[in-house]
Amino acid sequence: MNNLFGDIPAEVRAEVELQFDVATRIAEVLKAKGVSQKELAERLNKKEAEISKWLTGTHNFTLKTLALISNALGEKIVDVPHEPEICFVPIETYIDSKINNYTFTLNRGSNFFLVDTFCNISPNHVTS
Amino acid sequence: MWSNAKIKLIVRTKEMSLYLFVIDNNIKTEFERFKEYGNSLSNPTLKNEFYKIMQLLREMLSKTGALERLFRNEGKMKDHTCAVLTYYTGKKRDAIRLYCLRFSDNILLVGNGGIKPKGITTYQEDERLNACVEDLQLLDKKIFEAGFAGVGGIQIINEIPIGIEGAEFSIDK
Repeated sequence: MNNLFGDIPAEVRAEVELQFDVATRIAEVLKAKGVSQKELAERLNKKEAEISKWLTGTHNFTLKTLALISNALGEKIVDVPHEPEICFVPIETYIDSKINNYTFTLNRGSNFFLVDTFCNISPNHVTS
Repeated sequence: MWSNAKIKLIVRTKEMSLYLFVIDNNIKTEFERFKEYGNSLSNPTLKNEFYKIMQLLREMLSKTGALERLFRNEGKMKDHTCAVLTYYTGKKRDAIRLYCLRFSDNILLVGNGGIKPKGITTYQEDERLNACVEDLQLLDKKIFEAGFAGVGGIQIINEIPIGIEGAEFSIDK
């Protein structure tokens, strides 16, 4: 396939790949949520032609537009990999039972220290 | 306008089949001639756009097929499928156009194209672009005529021509 299309510069390939993938992602979310292009245009106060243009796979989206689309569809369009979220819990906190139980007992009016391994513990797992 | 045309299947992926065509006594397909044209561009913006169009075709082949939303219809309604691959659709500067016949999400025939000067709004206003579209319109017409007549192994199923690989057409002038 490389021969067929010639030597495309790496930066152009990367740019078009991203644009194409974002357009495909938006089209997939629209389909999955049963939202028409017209409906999305109404939600964003845009013309339907603009939505069509976005879906051609050649649009250079701004982060603001992507955020607006995500908001309007209630779904992330792009996801940037990042470090696990950092949580702060009271310094006197001690684990009430074994770590695997994910149960904490909190003392009020405490200093805080950093715990970065229990970030996905929901409030239901924390008692005071 | 061509007198003889032959269709070639150039690559088939799980997403789509890509066809090219060669006309008259040319050795190279129209798409190969477009590639030469694009590679010879000296304007960096247009050359970049040419590369983007090439990459766009790669993306379709490997990811989605020739979905309708990826194309912009040109030509006439009766052309069935005369479409164009574009990158820049504004009116403020010259742009590159690559014309195709999009028969379905899975069947795309790519032709030739060129620079659409910023001063024009339709392809008919530019000799080169008009010739590219007319060549495709004629090919489209001949494919469907052959399909409806059951000639050369071409069939029309749900308005999609099947069996166009290797098809040859001649026009008496």
